[in-house]
Amino acid sequence: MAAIGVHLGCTCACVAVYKDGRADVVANDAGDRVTPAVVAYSKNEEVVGLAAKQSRIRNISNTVVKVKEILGRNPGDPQAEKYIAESKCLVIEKNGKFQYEIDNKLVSPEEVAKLIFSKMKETAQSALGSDINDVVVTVPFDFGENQKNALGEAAGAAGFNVLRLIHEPSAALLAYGIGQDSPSGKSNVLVYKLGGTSLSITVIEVNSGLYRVLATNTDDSIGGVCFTEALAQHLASEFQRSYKHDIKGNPRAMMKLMNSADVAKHSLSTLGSSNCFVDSLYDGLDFDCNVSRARFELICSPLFNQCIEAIKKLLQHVGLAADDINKVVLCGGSALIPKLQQLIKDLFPSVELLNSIPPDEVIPVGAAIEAGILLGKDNSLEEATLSIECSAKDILVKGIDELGADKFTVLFPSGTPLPARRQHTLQAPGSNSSVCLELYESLEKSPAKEEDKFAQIVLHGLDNKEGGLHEILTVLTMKRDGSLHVTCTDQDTGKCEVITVEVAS
Amino acid sequence: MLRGAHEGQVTAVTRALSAASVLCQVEPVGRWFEAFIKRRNINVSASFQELEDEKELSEESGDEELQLDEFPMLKTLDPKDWKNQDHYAVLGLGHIRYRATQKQIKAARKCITLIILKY
Repeated sequence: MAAIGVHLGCTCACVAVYKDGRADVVANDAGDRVTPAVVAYSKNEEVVGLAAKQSRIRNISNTVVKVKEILGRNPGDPQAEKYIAESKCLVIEKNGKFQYEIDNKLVSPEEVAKLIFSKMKETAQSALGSDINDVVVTVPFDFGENQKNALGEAAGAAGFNVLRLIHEPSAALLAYGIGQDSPSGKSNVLVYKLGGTSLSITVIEVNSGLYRVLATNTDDSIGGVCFTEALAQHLASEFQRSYKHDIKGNPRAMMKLMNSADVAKHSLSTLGSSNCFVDSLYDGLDFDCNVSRARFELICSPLFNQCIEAIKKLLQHVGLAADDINKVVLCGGSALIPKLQQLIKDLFPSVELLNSIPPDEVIPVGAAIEAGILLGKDNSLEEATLSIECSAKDILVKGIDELGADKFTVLFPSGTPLPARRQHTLQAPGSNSSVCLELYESLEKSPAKEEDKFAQIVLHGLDNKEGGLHEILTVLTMKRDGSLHVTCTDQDTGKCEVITVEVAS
Repeated sequence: MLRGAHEGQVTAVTRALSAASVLCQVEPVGRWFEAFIKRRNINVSASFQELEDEKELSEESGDEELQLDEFPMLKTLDPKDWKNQDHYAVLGLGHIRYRATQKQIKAARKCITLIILKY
């Protein structure tokens, strides 16, 4: 049994296969692990992928790019209007829906997406050697109901059985298995996705293996294409300097330069310098230029700043400091840029930067893992996102540190899905014959005050262990309505105290 | 470190908790989400992990008894004819066959090895 995860991005699509407990990205027939999400229509066939992208220079009005941006959008949507203004192929409105007009034929965005999904299906099938239907598809966090439905329909039309649509940032977390090994514990993870045309940053709280999105922000004005464009502009001015021809107004020459700049940008992520060569760029003149990584970083420095500022803004918006983030996950092809990784590392000096999976493959890998989990289960989830009961406040215990000052320890963090049970072993000096646990409740971050105390548990008559330690096993159980049950047991004597705290009505 | 109790302090609840549980939206991904939903749907209060552990324990102990019963069958088998034999039956897993988990197969193999070495 196998299942696959598909990520359809604005510029690229990628497929991963879950088989024998492992998820792996599979390469397409051209040998690339990522397929450009470009569809070219010619007289008698439709071409998807790299061939379509390369032939776009000659076939611009019949080549559809960035189909995801218009999929499921209604006329009047500002994003859709922006897309139509930029689009090189004709988009018309018919019966309240957008259609591409290609060679006097009408093609809906869903059909274009279907072709891309079919291509991904073929890719997965050729790698597995068998038919495959079960799929998990990722969607951006800001996708609305209409867009999700449109994407689901497109996948269905391609012959897929969609197990579930999941959000891209959660898929990225799943790919690294964050919070999946042990179900207890709480952490904040920042997902940084710099895709082809958009930058989206999401802060996710992981608690008991469940993911909760705290804040998210998507910026459509910056993406990998901006970097390519900046480089292409630089190359154009280099060309002008040496040959005295201004080619910035020539769309065909600029597109050739864009393709060349794209290749150069990719190789600059691994190499120190890269060579751009374009045959007969303009007026029969060949163009040859060497770009070093330092030069590229200089050209793009305003873009890098914009990428980093977005993180700071989001953190400020949710009121988190850089220290509150425990992990950073990078995804999206442009997150491969070494300078960007360095800048993020500088922003979060003490944080683990997760980039061991290639960033452009993180999301499909996560989707494939989810597909593996869902495979063979009768899957009847009505709503896309579910509301569950969570504890509202931190439960703390007051103790003392080495110097004798008060010190609070969180026993039961807020936001834990209920019902839940947490177990701790607390220690007390062995010379004491009694132990007192003072329990406090408090909102996150605000320090516990004396009036926050709601209960105390006292254990008397413990054995005297000079120099040793009393070990008190404390089990906290919270029910779905928020009422708390605490059991304390001394490990040596077996003495036990139990309390139940109800919620004030 | 916990401090010691003062004279006359006793276990007590001074007041009720001020905040009830709150509803939060979670992302429908991951095995813990599946476990959570499953647990919620079948309405059990015990921890999911505990249930799983208990189930596995009972399965394993069931196997061990079975191994001893199957042993005489082993002697009738011809090693040369291994292609036509039922290896699940050899391991004592004839009753569950392909439904046997990795863990069960491992335990069964270990068990049968110990028995064979003893003779």
